[in-house]
Amino acid sequence: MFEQRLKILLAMMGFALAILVVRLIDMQVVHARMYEEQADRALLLRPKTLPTVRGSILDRAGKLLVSDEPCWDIKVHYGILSDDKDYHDAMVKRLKRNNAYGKKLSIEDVEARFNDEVDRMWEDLATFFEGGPDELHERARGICDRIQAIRDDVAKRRGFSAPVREERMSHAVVEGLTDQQQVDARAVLSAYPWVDVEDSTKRVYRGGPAMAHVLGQVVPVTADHLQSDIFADDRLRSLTGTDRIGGSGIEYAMEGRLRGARGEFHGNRAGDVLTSSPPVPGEDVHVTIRSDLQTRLYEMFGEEIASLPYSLSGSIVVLDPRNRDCLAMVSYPSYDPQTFREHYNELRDDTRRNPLAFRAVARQYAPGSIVKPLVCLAGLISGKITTATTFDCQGALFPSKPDSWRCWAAAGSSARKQHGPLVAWEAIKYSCNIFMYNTGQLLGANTLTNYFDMFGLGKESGTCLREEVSGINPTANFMDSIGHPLTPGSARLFAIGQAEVAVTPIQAANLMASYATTEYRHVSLVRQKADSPVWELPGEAAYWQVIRRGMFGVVNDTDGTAYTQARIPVETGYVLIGKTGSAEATPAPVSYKIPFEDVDGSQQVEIKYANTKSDAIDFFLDDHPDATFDPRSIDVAERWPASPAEHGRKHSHAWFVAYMQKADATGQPLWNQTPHIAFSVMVEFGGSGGRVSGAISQKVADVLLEILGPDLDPDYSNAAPDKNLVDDEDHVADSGTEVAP
Amino acid sequence: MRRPVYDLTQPGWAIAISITILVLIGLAAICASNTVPVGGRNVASVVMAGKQAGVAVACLVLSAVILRIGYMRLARHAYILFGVCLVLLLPMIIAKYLGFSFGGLVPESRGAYRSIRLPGFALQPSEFMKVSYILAMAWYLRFRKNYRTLDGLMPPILFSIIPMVLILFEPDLGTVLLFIPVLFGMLFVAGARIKHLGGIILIGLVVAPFTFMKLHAYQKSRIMAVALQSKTFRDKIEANPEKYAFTGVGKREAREWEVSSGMQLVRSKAALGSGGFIGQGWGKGTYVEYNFLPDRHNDFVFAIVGHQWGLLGCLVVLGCYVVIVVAGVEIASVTPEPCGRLLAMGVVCLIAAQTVINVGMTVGLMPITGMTLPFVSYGGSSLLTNFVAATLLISVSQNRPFTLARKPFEWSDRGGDRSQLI
Repeated sequence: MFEQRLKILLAMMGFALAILVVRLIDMQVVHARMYEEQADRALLLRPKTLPTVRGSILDRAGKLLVSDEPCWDIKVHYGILSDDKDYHDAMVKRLKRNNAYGKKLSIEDVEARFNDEVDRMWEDLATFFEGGPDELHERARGICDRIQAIRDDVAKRRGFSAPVREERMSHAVVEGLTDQQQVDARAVLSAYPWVDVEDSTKRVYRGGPAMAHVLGQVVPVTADHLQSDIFADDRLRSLTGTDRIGGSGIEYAMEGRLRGARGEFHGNRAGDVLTSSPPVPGEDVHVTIRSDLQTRLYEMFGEEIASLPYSLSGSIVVLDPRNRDCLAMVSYPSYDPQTFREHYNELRDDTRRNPLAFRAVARQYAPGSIVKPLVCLAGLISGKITTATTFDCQGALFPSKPDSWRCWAAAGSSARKQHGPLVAWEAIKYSCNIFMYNTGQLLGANTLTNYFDMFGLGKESGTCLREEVSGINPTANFMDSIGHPLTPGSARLFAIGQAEVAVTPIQAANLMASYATTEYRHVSLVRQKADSPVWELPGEAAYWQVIRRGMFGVVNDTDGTAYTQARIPVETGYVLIGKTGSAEATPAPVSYKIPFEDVDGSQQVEIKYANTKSDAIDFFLDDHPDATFDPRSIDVAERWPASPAEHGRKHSHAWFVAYMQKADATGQPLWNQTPHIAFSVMVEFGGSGGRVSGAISQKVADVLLEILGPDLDPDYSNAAPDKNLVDDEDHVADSGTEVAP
Repeated sequence: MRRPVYDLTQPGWAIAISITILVLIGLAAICASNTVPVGGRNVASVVMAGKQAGVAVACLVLSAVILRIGYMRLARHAYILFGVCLVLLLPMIIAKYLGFSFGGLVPESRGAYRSIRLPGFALQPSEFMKVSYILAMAWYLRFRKNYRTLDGLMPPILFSIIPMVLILFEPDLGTVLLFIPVLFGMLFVAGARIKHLGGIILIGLVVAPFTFMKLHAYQKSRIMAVALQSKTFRDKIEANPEKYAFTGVGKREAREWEVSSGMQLVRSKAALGSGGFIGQGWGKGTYVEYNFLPDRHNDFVFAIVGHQWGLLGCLVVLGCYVVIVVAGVEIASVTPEPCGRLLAMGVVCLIAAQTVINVGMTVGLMPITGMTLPFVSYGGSSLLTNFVAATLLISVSQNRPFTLARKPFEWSDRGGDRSQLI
């Protein structure tokens, strides 16, 4: 029996041995290759990414407007930001193991202490943060929401939910510390192993409010950005959840050039370098804008608007008609780009002034009379009228019905109440509606909208800004699509720039540039080597001369609509060739009343800070998710401007568009010279185009002459060439104004 | 009739030579282990190897003494030795549960109290417990027959449970588990009924899941490591942690297993596997040059051996154990004296079980328990214990009859029922 049992025991041991040997052969012979690779991988050091620098944005003169500057960020681990239980438990265990809070503490004590420490960390962080503790927590929540959105998005694509790398990273909660602050922060925050103070860069905006809209902002990356990333396939350029991306303005439009490529270093412990590439900084972008000009115009515009009764806002766009470089693009009011994030909520809720709106490109207005030269030109080119055609203005299109299809002369303060018989250039000078009604009717809506299209109405102007809207060219297709098919009267209304026609201030300026050069081009906002394409516009020189003469008359003939306000002195060597426009405008809603029902019965709430019904509904649903309401019963609670305009007239936006034509000593324009400057001035609810915007235009011309010099050279500099522009924190724009000739 | 003390029998020599080879391999591996990245050996590793060699020499001396004494005289005092070892276990329990560390004599290491710190070295009483336990068991079982009944089986089992419980409290689960194969091995060869042993094993298997639930999380995760090597299994846990809550492995652990609790095993396998057939060479290879594998001179020394000398090295090591086991079984089979027989089989089971568990855990077939590889792993107490055990084995073999066949007419009155064996 003993012998037998020994044998059994031996057999059992032999069996165990056999299993081990088979396993060894499997590992060391069959799968040796796999394990060797594992061993090689074990040698790899974690790949290091080297941060890159986003390109700078410089203005036309080379002045640095936006750049990445070194700073320090306080980063907190995602596990703390999101109150992640796993992370907390792991951290508590680690603290216990390291006896971080002293020996002999139970795990519960360590946990309690840890929770206290986290609370204390938030207090400590708040001392480095201007916005206060609540804002800080909101920021943390914002980061978590963003990361969760990224995770959800990744999960949707993968088909299952798994942590994303952003969840294992620290995220900047307090940004932009100076060196001194950084030293203090480290001293205070070193007690928290989940907090890092790391060197970083911050985006510094130097242009002030005047440049804020154009330059735009960078924003933290969201799930949407990741999905639409233009460099998604480029490992070193693709976005990560801790990056910032251009969210608006040039920052957005030029993202592809501004974004740099991260550097990368990947080596192993044996000292082999597998990959190593230095970071490639983003390209610098030179905008065509002169920031000194823009700043001056912004300040001047602000003063002018402050003196108007109903106006809070407006826009000025200055173009070089020769190549359509945009020299200035003022949108008033604006905001301080450096404190944008802190003040975002107030800025967003300011529904009267809407400082966030980029009016130069993002708002469209009825053009009013500024399309009249275009209507005449269309009539002349298409042969519907000639330079000698006259239409008799008796104050209304049909003398038998004096109250419809009226000319503004009939309603205005003019003693004549009518213009009498006019030829085309006179009609432009007087901005006569009757002439335009007739011409529009002769052209028909289709031909007219064709000409609108030729001059860029209803098309984006080419700035590539995401804020830009295209305006409206009311073609037959468009009118059908909104359910108001063209009627015989449509062309008449379009011909005076009313009804559905809508243009942006930049389109208005470009229209003027086209009047000045007989060609249509896209506006360029960024300096580029290649010239933008040119569309030559049709028409004999004589026809063009008609509209130019007409617009000359608007400002320079004693009976022109802007003679008293816009005319500039003969000594300047220039005359303004321009057109006024007063486009009827309905006061904009600034708050809504919403009647609704919920558990407490019928109620009504006023939603402030909403410009549109859909905004109001969105805000309402945020606060009252369970309420029922009828969208049709929502009413505007308040509009701005609230009071009716003087003399019981309707409110109107005030347009003035012009170009500056070289003139001789007697004030006669030198028609053979191509103008250097075209601009548009739009004042929301300004009233009369001539009286309000015309007056501002005069000041615009002053500023232009002051800053661009007597030749109106966009690259003119009256200051000594300054090589150290980059380091100068002060606005170079200011230095330009004080040394005026 | 006895042989001169130092004139070893053939199996005795085989065991001695195998042990020498194993110790040398172990020394080489320990020496190579703690090298620093720039090349050249870290002083610490040479010191450690030197210390180990010193212990080995001391072990040789001790072995000579034990051989001189003879296993029989030791076995006579087996109960006393057993009692001394039990007493030596008490300080650990006191330190752990009463918080009295005897002036730092009983230090804590990774949450466990396993050793008594003496100047220059640390004693692990649980290691000595193994040998005294085998001796005592052999002494107890030698003339009895009552273990062939279920009631008679109880005393030896209770006898085992006392040290097991004490060691379990340290805690040192690995060592505790080692008692089981030794106990069963000895009872089995001593002739306990299969149905009794089988029944006990069956009860053990039934109780096992409940015991498992009572374990610490880290112990559970070590046992689960065998299954957790499968990515599919980990994904399942991650996808449905509630369903797999019984494993004690959370979602996070499943997700990060390879870099957290499974890291040691993953690296141990990589070290072994990347050794290939002939190995990376002495002192060469990723896992020798860099300290990626925790305990590589100790519990995971087999991985380093496989890394440096490949499958060949592994087979040499395993071959040495085969020689020891086969020689041990031969000794047990030939020895007429019952206590010696049981002692021999106890030692064989001890060494075989340690080897199988250690190598098994290194290759990922067994849960990771703190188990050393006999004669190879760094560690004085372990080396000493195994040396003593092996010496007892050799000592038993010294007591064998000179010839395998019974000489004509030579009847002997010594020992047990020899007529059965020869």
